Amino acid sequence: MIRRLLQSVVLVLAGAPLVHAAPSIALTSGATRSFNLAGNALSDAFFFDAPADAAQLRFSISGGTDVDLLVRYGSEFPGTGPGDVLSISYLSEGAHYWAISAENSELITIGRYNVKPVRAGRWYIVVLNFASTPSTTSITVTASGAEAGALPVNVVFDDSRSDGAGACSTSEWNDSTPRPAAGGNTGTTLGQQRRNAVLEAARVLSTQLRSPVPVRIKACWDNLCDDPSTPGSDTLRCTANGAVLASAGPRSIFLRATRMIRDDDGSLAVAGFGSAPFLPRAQTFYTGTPTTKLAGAASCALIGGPCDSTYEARITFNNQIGQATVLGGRNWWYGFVPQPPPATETDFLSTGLHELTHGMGFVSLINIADQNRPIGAKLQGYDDIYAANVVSVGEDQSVRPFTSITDAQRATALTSFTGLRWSGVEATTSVDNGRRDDPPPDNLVTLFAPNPVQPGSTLSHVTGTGVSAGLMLPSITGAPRTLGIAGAMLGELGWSSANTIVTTDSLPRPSLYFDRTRDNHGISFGRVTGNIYYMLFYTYDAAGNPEWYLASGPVVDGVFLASTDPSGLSLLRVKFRPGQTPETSVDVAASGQVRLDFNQAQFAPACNDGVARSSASPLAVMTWSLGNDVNKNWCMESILPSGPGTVATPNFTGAWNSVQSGWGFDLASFRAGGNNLLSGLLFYPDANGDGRWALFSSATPTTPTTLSLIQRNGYCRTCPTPSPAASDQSAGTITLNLVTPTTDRGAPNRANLTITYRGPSGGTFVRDVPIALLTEPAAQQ
Amino acid sequence: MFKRMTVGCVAVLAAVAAAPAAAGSADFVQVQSRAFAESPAKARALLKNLPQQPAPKVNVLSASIASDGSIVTRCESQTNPAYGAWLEELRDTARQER
Repeated sequence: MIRRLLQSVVLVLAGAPLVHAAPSIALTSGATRSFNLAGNALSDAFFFDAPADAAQLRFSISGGTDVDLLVRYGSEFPGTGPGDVLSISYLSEGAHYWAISAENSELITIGRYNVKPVRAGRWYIVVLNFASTPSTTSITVTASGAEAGALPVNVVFDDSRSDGAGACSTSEWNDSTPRPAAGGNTGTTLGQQRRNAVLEAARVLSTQLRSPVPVRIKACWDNLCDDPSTPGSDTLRCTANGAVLASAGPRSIFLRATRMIRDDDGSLAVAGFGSAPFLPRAQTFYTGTPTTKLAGAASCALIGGPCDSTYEARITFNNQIGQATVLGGRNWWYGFVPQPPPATETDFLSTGLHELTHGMGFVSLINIADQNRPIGAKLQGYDDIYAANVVSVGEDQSVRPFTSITDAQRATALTSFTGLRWSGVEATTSVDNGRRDDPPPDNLVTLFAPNPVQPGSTLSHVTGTGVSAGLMLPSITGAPRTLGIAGAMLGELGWSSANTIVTTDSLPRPSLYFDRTRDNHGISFGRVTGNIYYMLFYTYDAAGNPEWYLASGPVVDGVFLASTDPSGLSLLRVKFRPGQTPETSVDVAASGQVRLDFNQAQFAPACNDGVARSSASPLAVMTWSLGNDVNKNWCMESILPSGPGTVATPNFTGAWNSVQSGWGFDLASFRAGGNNLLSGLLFYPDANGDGRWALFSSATPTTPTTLSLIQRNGYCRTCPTPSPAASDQSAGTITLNLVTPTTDRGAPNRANLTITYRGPSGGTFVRDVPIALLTEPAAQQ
Repeated sequence: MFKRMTVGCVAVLAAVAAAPAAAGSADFVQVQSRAFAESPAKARALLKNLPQQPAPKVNVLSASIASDGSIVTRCESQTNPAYGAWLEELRDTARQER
C-alpha cells in the first residue's frame, strides 16, 4: 500500500476508503484454480508459497480472452493497496516477470538462475484481462525440483510471411528432388535433407545450452547475392570465387532501464513495461534469445505479440549456392558429419551452427562497421552484455573494462591484435580454455582484433589461440561441429544456469543529490516513514528562475517509484492557494514524471559519460519528464560527505515543515574540517503561489541561528551550463531554533523567516511557526 | 464499470465485483476483479512501449575458395532492415514532438 503521508509540506493527499483485501487465495503446487475475471480488470488475489526445495516454478494461466500474467517475489505489487490509483503501468513496474502475449494463455518458467530466483517465500500473482469481455480463467503454479534441461529449439520452416527482415522463401525446404543419404543425413529429398541439416544444427545447440523456455527460429532462403544496400549488385557479393552463404542474428535486444514516453494523448508517462527487470545487468543490452531464459518466457510473451509469428532468431540461407556462376558452382554439403576429403562442397551444418550461435547472443553491439558513428561507440550509449565481458589489455599488461574506456580507446583495442580479451570467469576457467592456468591476464581468452577492423568479424569471434575455438573463429576451414569455448562464453551472455546469489537491496541514503553536469540543480531525498520516500527537485525554469517539484512513493527493488496522482503524474508542480481548501493543488500542465534508479547506475550512459564522479557515493539515475523534455537521464550522487567524522551531532539533516501548507526546507548538517556545518534549501511560494527556493548556510551554526536567504538564479534543465552557472542575490533571512531532530510536532523547534521573491511575480512570504521533521531523523535512516 | 471519484487529490477507484461464477466445479474460486485506471485503449498502448527493440545487425557468413581448393568462410555484418525501419519511426516521432 502506498500511503501518501506528506501531511503538510505542500499538499495533502488523503487516503481513500479501503476496497481491497490483501492477496488471499493461496495456490498449491499443481492444483488448477478457475475464476471469473471481468473485462478491463485485473485480479491480484492469488499467491503461491514456494517450498525451499523447489528448483523450478511454472506459472501458467489460460482464459477465454487475451489474459496476461505478472509475477512478483517477496512483497505485494506496488500500487495495489488501498487508496492507490490502480494503474497497470505503475503496477507493471513492480513485476519481476511478465507474460503479455496476444494469446489466451501465458507461461512463465523460472529457476534458481534467474535474477529473482526460485526460493522459499511468497510469490504474488496478477492476472490481467485487457479484453472488454469477462474471461473464465484458470491458473496453475507448479513447483518442482527440475533443473533447466537442454534448450528446446523449435525451427519453423514454412513461415514465409513478411517480418521486416528481408524476403523469406520457404519452397527450398520442400524441394522434392531425390537425394541419396549422405554423411548421416538420411533425407530422401533435397528439401528433407535441408530440413534435417538445420534440425541437426539445432540439436547440437540444444545440447550445449540449457533452458526450459523454447527458442523459436525462423529458417528461410533468399537470394543473398543481392546486396540489400545496393539492390541488383549480385556480383559484389557472389562471384566464382566467393559468395554469401547465410545470414542470421537475434531478432531483438532488450534493456533494463527506466523509459518515459509521451503517450498518444500527449500526456507524459512512464513506459510501464518499458524496462526489463529480469536482466541481471542493468543499463545493458541483452540479445533476445538468452533473454527468454532470463525472463522465463518466450519473446511473444515479453513483447506482446502473437506467438506464431514471433521468433527469437532467424537464419536465411543463400539459395544461389550451387549456381554455376556462384562459388565455382559448388553446392551445399548437408551431411551431419563433414564431407570426406577432398571436401569440395560448402558445409551447410557448420554454416548454420556458426550463424545460429551468433543468433544465440554471441555478438557485440559495439560499432565496428557504421562509418556514420565513431568506431568503438556503444549502441545508443549503452553497454551490451557481450562487451561487458570484454577487457582491453595493454602492452604493459594493464587491464581495463572494455565498456569503461572511451570510444577512441575501444577503437584502438579493436585493432590491437591481442589486446582484446574475454574476462568472464565461466569461459576463463573452462576446460576449453587451454590457458586457464596461466597468470592473468594471459589466461583470458583472446578475441579477434585485426588491424584494420573487419566489420562482422572483429570482437565477436575468438582467435583460437590456446583455446578450443570450435565454430566461432572468424574464418572457418573444415567443418567444426562444436561450440568450443563459445559455449562457456554464451553462459556469460545470459545462458548460465549457475544459481543466482541473492543480495538484499539496501535502502537509499537520504541526502541531497545532484548531477555534476547539471550544477545548481538537484534533489532532496529522504524517507518519511516505512517505505515511503519524499523527493523534492529544485531546479530552474526556462528563464533561469528557481522552481521546484515534489514526488513521493516507495522504493521498490532499488527504484524510487514515485506514486501518481489522479492525472497519472508523479513529479508534481504544486500551486499554493492561501485561503482556499485545500491550500495547495497540483498544476497538471506543469507536472511530469520521475524515477530514481539506484541499481547499477554506474553502467548508465548518464553516469558513464567520462565525467569523474565520486566513487564513495552511491549513484542513481534520475529519469524525468517535464513539459517538452521527455525521458531525460541525470546521474545523481550525494552532495553530503560520507565516512568517519562526517556526521554532525545532533544531525538535523532532513526535510522540515510546519503544519501550514506550501513551504518547508531541507537541511543538510554534517562535519567537515572538524566543524559542524549547516546548509539548507527553503521552499516557498511567490505571489502567484508558484514554488520558489532559496539557499542558506552556516559554517558556525548556533542555537538559535539567523542566516541570510540567497535567491539563486540559474539555467534551464536542458540548457548548456553557462559560465557563471548562477547568480545570487539576497532575498531575506531565516532564524532557526533547532533543538532536537524529531518528527514530534510538540518539540520546541521553530523557524522564523521573511523572504521576498526577486522575480517577475514577486511576493513576500513570512512565517514564525513551530517546525518538525517530515522525514525520519537522519540517525534512523 | 468502475466509478471514479475525486477526493482531494486522490481518485478512488471502486472495485468491481466479479461476475457470477460460470462454473460450479470444485476448483472454482471467487475473486475480486479490480478495474484499472487506464482506459482500454491506453492500457493496450502500454504494450507498444516495451524494453525491446530490433537487433541492429545481422551476421553474414561468406565463403571463398582458397588456393588449395578448400572453402574458407568469413563473418561479416549488415544492418538489420527491421532496425533501420525502427530508427526511422523513432525519428518520425521525434519530429512530431518538435
